[in-house]
Amino acid sequence: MREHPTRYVFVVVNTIFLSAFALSCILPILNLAATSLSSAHRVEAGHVGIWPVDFTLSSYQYIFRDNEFFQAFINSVVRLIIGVPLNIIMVFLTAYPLSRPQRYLRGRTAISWFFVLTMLFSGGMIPTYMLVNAMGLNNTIWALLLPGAVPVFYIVLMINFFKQVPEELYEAAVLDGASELRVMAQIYVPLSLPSVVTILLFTIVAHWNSWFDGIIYMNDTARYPLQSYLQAVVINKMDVTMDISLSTNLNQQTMDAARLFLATLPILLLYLPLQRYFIKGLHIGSVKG
Amino acid sequence: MKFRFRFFALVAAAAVVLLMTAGCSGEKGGSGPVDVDVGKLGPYDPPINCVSAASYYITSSVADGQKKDDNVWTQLYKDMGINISFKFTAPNVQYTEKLNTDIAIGSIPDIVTVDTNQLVKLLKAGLIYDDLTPYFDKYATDDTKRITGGLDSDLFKIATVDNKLVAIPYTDNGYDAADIMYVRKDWLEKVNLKPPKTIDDLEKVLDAFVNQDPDGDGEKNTIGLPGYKGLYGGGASLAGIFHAYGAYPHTWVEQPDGSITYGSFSDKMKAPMAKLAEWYKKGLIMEDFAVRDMQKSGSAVMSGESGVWFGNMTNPAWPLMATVANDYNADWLCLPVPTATPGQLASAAIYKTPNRFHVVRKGYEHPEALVLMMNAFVDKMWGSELKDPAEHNKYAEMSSFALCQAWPTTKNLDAYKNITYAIDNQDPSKLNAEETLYYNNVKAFLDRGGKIDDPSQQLDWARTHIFYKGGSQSVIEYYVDNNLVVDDLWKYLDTPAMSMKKRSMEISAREIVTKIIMGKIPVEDFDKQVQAILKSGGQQVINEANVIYKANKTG
Repeated sequence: MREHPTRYVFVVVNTIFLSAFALSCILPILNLAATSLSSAHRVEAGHVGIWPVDFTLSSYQYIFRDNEFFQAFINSVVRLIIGVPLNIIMVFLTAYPLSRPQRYLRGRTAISWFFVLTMLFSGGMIPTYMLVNAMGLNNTIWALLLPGAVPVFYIVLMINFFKQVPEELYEAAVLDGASELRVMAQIYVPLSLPSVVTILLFTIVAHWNSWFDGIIYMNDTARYPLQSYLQAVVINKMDVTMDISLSTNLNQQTMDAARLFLATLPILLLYLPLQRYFIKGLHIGSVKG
Repeated sequence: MKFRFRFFALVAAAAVVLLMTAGCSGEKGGSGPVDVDVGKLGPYDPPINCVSAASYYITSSVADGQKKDDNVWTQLYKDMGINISFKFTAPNVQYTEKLNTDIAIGSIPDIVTVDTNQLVKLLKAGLIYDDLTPYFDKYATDDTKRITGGLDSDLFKIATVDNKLVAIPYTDNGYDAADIMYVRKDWLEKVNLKPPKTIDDLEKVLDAFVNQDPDGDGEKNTIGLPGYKGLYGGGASLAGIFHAYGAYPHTWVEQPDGSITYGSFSDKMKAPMAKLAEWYKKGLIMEDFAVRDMQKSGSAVMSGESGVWFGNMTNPAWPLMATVANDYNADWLCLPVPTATPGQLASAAIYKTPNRFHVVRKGYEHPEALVLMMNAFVDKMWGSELKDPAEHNKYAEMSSFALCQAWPTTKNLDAYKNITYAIDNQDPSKLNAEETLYYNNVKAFLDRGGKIDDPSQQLDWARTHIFYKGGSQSVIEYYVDNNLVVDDLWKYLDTPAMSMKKRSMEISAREIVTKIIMGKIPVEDFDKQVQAILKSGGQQVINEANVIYKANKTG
C-alpha cells in the first residue's frame, strides 16, 4: 500500500510530539527518584538531573524510621480497602436499575435527575463540613468515604454501558429464574468488564490522590491519609526565618523527593496490569466481552 | 407506594433527630467568666476543662515517650488543674485551614492561637472575649510581663482595640528580621579587595566577582548580586541596598509631616532603584531574579556562583552553609548593610509586627487560664527562678507543642552574647539548654581550627557564623548598639480597606520596583506609577492607616 506523503509528515510530527510529551511526564519522575537518592548538598547546588549524584540511601533510611509516613500509608490502604468496594457497589446498585427501560422502574427519569442534580450543584465546602461534623463523622474514616460514596459521574458512565447489553440476555436470564441481583452480578457486570476495571482504576486513583478531605476532617496527623500527610510535609517547608534550632543536617528536598516517590509507586505499579483495560475501557461495547 | 412514603418519612425524621442532637456536641455557649480563687500558676481546685488546638512545624520531632496531645506540657497543665483536650492538632498550614473552617461555622476551641486575619474575622463575628486586660493585669507574673513587654508595649498595642486587649500577642524575636550583608571572604582575598562599607565599595566588589574569575576555574561563570521575586527580606533580599539610601520598602515609615506611608511609595526609593538599574544593565545583578523564588536564588550561592548575599540572621544555616559543604575553603563574612553616604551609617529595617495571637472563646468560663498557661510557659522556659538546664531542656525540646507561648524578643541576640562570653572565658556554666546546643557547635568548629573537613560538620560552621564573634548576631548587636534599627510603624490590626486592598497594593509596588531595576520602565516614571496604585485603592489604605496611627499617637 502506497503511503501518502502528508501521512508521512503526520507520523514524524506526531512521533516527535508524543515523545516529547511522554518525556515531559517521565523526566520529572526520574528527577524525583534521582533527587531522593542523592546527597543533600549536591541537590542544593543543583548538580542533580535524572541520575543520582553521590549516591546515598539516607533519605530512605530516614523515612523507613518515620512512623508517621507509614501510619499515613496504612491509612490510605485502609481507605482503599473500604472505599473502593463501597464506591463500586454503589455504582452498580444505582446504575443497573437506572439502565433498565422505563417500564421496569417507574419514575426512572426523575430518579436519574435526582442524581445528576448533585453533579451540577453541591452544598459547598462549609455546609458539607457542617453536615459531616453534625453527623459525628468528624475524625473518623467515614468522613472520607461517605460524602463521596456515590460517584454520579461513574454511575452515568455505567448506565450507558449497561444499556448496551442486549435486552435478550436479560429476558433469557429471567426466564431461567435469575433474580434481578443475579442478572446484574452475573450478566451485566461481566459483560461490562473493561468499563468496570476503568471505574475501578479511577476510584482507586481518586481515593489514593485526594488530600483536602483528609486535612479538613481529620483532627490529628496520625489519621491523615498519605496524600494529606505529603501535602502537610511539602507545603510546610522549612521556613528560612524559622527558629534556627530546628534545622538539621537532613535536607528537606531529598526527603520530600523520597516520600513523593514512594507515594507515587503503588499507582504506577497498578497501571501496569490494568492499562490494557484502561485503553479500551472507555470506548468498547458490551457484547464483545 | 404508601408504605414506601412512610418509610422515607421515618428515615428523614430519624436523620433530623440525629442532626439536632449531634449538633449540640460542639463547643458553644458556656456561662461566661466565673469567679475563681486561683494562683498565678494554679492550681485550679476543682480542675477545669479546656478545649484547645495545637500547631507545630512538621519537622518538629516529638521526644521519646511524648505525644503531640499528651506530653510534658499537657501534664504540667494538668498539675495546674487545667485538663486540656485537643479539638485538633495539625502542622502550621493545615492548622490555619482547619481553624478557618471552624471560624466559618462559628465553633472555635476555648483557648487557641490565631493569625492576624483570623483575629480580625473573630472580632467581627464576636466569637472571642473582647477584653482580656483585667485578666492579664491580675494573673500575669512579673516574668511574663518582662518577657512579653507588658500591657504598655508596642506588641500589646496591636491587639488593643478601643483600649481593650482583645488578644494576647505571641511575642517573638524582633530584631532577627534585619537585613545583613554576607560576602565571600576567600573571594575578597583573591580579588584583593577590602570588605565593602559603602555602595561604591560594593559596586567594585560585585564587578570584581563577576569579571575577575574569583572562583579561579578559568571560566567566566560567576554572577553578581542574587535577588528574588519577593525582593525584600528573608534571603536573596535587595532591601539592604535600599537601606543604604535611607529607603525602607515594604515597611510603614513616617514622613516629615508626621503622617505615615508605605515605604515602597517614598521618594527615597528613586536613588537606590536608579543604582540597581545601573548594576542590572552592567550585569552585576542576577539576570533572572524576577522569576526566581528564594529557594532558587539560594542555589546560586550554594553552588558557588555568587559571592554576595543579603538576608536575615539565619542565612548562614541556609543557604550559605552549603557553599562551605561543597567547598571547604569557602568562607563568608557577616557585615552590616553598606551606606550610600560615606560617614553616615545605614539603618536596617525590622518588622516587629507579630502575626500570631492567643484568644479566648466568648462564653468560656475561665479566660484567665490563658494567662496562667502563658505564665507556665515563661516559667519553664525562662523563669528567673529556673536554674536547672535539664529542667529547661525537658520542656524546651517539646516547646512546639506548648500552648500560649511567649518568647523573649532578644533571645538569639542574648544567646550570641552568652555564647561569646562562654567561649572567651571558657565558662559555659551560665548557658541555658538551647545556648549549650549552639555552644557545642561553636566549640567543635573552633577546636577544629575554624575549618570543616566533612559535610556533616556544616552546622558547626553555620552556628559559629550566627552565634559567635563576627557572626550574623554580632551585626544585629551592632545595629542595636548604634541605634540603627528602623521599626515598622504599622502596629495595628488591618483596617477594612487593608483587608481588601493591602495585598494587591504591595504586589503592584513590587512590580514597579522590579520593572525599574530591569530597565523596562525609566526611574522617572516612578511617581506616575505610584499615583496609579494610589488611585486604585492604595490611597484609601494609607488614609485609613493614618487615621488609626494619628489617633494612637496623640491618645
